[in-house]
Amino acid sequence: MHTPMSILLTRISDGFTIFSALLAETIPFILLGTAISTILTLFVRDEALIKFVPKNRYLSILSANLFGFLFPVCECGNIPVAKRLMQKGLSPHIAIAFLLSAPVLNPIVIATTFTAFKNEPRIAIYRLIFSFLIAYIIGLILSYHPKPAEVISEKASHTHKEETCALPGESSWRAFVRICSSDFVMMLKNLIFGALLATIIQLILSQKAFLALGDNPIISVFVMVAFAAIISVCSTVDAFIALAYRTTFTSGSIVAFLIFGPLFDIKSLFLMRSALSWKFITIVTSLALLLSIIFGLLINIFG
Amino acid sequence: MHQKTTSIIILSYGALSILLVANGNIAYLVHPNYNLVILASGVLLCIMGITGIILGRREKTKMSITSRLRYLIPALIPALLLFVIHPRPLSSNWNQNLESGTTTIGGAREKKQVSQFSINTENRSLSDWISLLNGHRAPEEHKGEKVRISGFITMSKELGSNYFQISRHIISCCAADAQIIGLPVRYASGTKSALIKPDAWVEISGTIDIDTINGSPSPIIVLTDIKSINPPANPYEL
Repeated sequence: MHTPMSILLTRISDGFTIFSALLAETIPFILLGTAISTILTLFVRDEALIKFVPKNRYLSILSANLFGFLFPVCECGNIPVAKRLMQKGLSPHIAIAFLLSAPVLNPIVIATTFTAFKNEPRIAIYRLIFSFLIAYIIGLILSYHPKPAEVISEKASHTHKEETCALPGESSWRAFVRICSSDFVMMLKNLIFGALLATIIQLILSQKAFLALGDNPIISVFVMVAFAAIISVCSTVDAFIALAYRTTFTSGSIVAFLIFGPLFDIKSLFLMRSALSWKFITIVTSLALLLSIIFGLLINIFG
Repeated sequence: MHQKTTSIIILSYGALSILLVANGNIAYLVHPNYNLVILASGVLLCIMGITGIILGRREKTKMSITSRLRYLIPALIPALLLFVIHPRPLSSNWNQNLESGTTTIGGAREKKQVSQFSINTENRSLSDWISLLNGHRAPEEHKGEKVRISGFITMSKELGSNYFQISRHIISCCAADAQIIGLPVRYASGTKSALIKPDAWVEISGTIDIDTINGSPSPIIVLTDIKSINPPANPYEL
């Protein structure tokens, strides 16, 4: 018998499972991302980094997009890397171009997307093209920002010297443990908050109503983009989730899900807070949302 | 940041990761492909945590107990909860996606090639069956094949009174992306009907048939036997 109390307890139990699952699955990637970013901080000299990036505006953004091939973690792992790159003096628009393209333009995600859509490779191709375009366009727009320092969060910009290099007399090992630990815990706290919020939203929304909207070429795009933001899963496997909805949702909405999800979701929203200011997160997210919806609609109209 | 406090948090989550894999509860949370990754990161976190605690012993900055607790407790609450409370598998209420008869998991989920021509069809799992029935051969060609699968029972008004759906959650990455898949099962009234209640875990035997559901022909299972089982250690299809 389903009494209101037993239904409530079931919901709480499911919520706890979902929340724990999000934590368990993301922690390894955060560890990897903070480890890589700490290595970058300690062992790559600022000057080397700046020399490596092409001077030309357009080429520099392009190189940032391709840099993602070296970092096959989902968006969670890339955030600490982007933060450290900015602290080392890399222009924010380049770090953002990297942050936006790395979750999709990497070997693992390309492989899983093509595997999931092997019967319909155009979906995978659309994902690659439009993800690249969005990352490039946003990087380009940001390169014209008059006050790039506003991009970085206050916490990240006011770094004390000790957070970015070894103290005098401190061994590299010790510095690594110190910096990586504090970065990790900061990301962890943001993750806990983001995962909690994502879980609550999933608990509240009903799936049946959402499925009914799949046919409409316009509404389906909006619905899928919202779904991508709520479901907060890594870009490495979201292709299989999109696949499950292939028969109920329009092509454009599936592609919109695949391009918006890696850019932004509730969980990564709070992780981004460790590196970027709210104002900036709002700007980037709005641009990403707008472009994702436009591309999704275009596919439905012309595809 | 206070090294020892930070390291305690890291050590806790490292220990938690190892614990979840060791006691098998991780199966309720994530896809088994991640188990090794989670174990490895647990070990690394423990190493980093212990190292940090040792290195932090000589730390000069002192934090008061209250500010230390204020820093520790919010970060540690999820870990403490998970040490004490075992997460349970998702209930059948989660993601009710009841379009019975048209349940599909997308053609490319066949991570292993399911042989259409195997003699012992009873070895196929629920997701194997759904892939096959949605695959290249028409469902009618599977008529009469024997089925033995386990799952939990879900019931819906759309199906009618002699039917239930045998269901499982299927996950790609973690429980957050779980969806329900299932197949309709037709049973003769009186057949051990005490066992047929929502959310019950059962193992069923039967054969494939085609029925008209919601106006269109759909593959179903005709029940020949049913028995009650304990929920398996890994309740999710992969």
